[in-house]
Amino acid sequence: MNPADALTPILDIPDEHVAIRLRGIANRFGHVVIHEHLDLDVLRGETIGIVGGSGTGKSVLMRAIIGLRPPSEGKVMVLGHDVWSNNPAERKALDARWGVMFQDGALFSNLTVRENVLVPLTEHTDLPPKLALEIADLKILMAGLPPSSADKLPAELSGGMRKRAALARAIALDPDILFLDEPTAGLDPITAGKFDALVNELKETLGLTVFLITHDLDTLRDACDRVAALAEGKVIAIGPLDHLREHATGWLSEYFGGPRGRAALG
Amino acid sequence: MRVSLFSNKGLASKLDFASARVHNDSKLNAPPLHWVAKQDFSQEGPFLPDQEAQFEVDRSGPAPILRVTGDWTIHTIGAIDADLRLIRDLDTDRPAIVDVSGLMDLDTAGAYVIEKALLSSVEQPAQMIGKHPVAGRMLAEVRKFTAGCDALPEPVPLWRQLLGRMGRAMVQIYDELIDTVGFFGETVVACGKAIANPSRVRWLPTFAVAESAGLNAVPIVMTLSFFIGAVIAFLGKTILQDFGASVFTIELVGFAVLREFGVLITAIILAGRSDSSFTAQIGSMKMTQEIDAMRILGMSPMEMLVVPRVIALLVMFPILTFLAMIAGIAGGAIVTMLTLDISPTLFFNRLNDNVGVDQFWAGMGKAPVFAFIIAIIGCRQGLNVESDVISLGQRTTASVVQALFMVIVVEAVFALIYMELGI
Repeated sequence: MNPADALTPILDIPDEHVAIRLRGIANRFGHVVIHEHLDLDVLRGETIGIVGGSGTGKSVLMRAIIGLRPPSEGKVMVLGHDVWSNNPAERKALDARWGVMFQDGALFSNLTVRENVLVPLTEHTDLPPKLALEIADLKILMAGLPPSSADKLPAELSGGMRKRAALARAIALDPDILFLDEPTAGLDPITAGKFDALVNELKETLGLTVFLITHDLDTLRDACDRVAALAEGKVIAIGPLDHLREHATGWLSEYFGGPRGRAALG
Repeated sequence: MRVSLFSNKGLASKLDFASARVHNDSKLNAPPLHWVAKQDFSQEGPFLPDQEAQFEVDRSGPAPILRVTGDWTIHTIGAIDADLRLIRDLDTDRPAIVDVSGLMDLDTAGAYVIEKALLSSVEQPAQMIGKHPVAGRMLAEVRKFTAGCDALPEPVPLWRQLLGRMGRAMVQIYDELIDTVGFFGETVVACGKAIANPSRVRWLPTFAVAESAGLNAVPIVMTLSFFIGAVIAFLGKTILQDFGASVFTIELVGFAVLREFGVLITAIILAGRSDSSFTAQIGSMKMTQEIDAMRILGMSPMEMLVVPRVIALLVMFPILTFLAMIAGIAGGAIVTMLTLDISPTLFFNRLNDNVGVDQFWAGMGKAPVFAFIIAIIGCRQGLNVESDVISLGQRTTASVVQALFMVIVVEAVFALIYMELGI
């Protein structure tokens, strides 16, 4: 069978090619079941787009992977290490290997952009202060911000610039994996397009694995290698976008076949 | 459906579908570079201990060559930064050739320091010798930005910072003053309208505020006043005893509690308790754009938020003051009775004859003024909160500080007025 025909998660990829490995994940809030028996492998060096209707637990899944909220059941392996193993040293090492951009940026509002980018640098490395400042500036420029924005507070930036600043903080340590939670939500189409291009460029340069939660069909088309659709508590389909569209059923066909889907994907 | 994909050799070519089977053609040809690098250097897992970053400048040939070996990542370059800077700061004779054959892991931070040490620019990039899967691209990518990275702003001298801050503070105080007076006027007008047309007053929030800011403050106000009354009695007894006039402790307690402390303690507690909550409540509504929504729906924030708080405090403040006076007198009375052996009858007779109801009204007269001050300062600061968290904190602090300040100043003004009036 052609590998591209696979719609369900492929589960026998060797460890060294897997950045994130989820097995049997369940998430429940009281009696509300969000995920049940969820399996997913994210390959190293790919950009995977996570789609799903509201309330299908995209952000919950991300929080389970980055160690913010333990899954009710199941195993989360990132770069071959168990995120929930309760080993503080391992966790700290993992924290330095991923960068996270939260939905609203989550920049520290009392720190300037440069200081925000410096936080992970001072927390996880022992760079001399001067070099740390230079590296922070490098990341700010790489995120596509003008140098003048480095001394501004997050409140003084526009929405698009705030997202870039959050991205600069997320890539501060040259992470292996970048988590983006709705990076283009609330941006105008032009800025969103530029942001997609920026993510692509950074991914190429830094060799990142990108875990991208989005509703934006343009982002799926322009930035994602594979798309995983969440519904009914698990990954109902996974694969390259075109392939997914050809074989879409149920929720997915509604998603791609609706007027917005047709407009974006043609 | 499961597909057995990776059970045979030639993994990388099959894995290509994941990263290279993408939509535009340029990507199709691009190899999945990242795991080429990873496979070469960190097959044993991601947490392979870092190899020390090392470098040397080979000046034996016609042109100097920078030889870099080991891992050059953000975790290793800290150790060699000082040495590398010596090369970086050379005006001439910086190497323009880099040998990356011994280089292992490289990230953008490592590429940055290498690029900085080289005589290199976008127009005239340094020459690279040796093979490395990502070095060429990383160096080229970082090269675009290196020039902008050490243009750190010149630190402003301390004395100028100090002067600047003082100046800004002065202007701010002036602005605050004008703004407060303006808001005071606005509130008076809104309250006037409410009195003229009581059906427009929002009674539900008014009662809610009266409960949370007034009723719930009763225990703390009474407890503290009780202790203040007791302290005054102790003080009076200790000092007046030396003059053989310890019986005047009763008058001291009466004057102090009725005229000053009953109302002042209430004002201080409400300034801390209610002002902060008014500012935080209204401020967070401002942050979530609820106030804008009110305006759009034709509801005046003055009417919805400020007038209920002003009315609630105007009603509750005198009641709290009254309770504070009772508690204060009780505290004083208990101490006097226990330490001076004075009977309750004597205590209250002397209080009635020598202190009188004038002092009670002198204290009570201040209550509405304080209530108004506290309510409008809390509301005004809340309405001035901007969209960020810092301003919420600043405004809450400013609200409590200004309210306390104004309470004490107005208290002093009242003391002068009463003195002139001979009360």
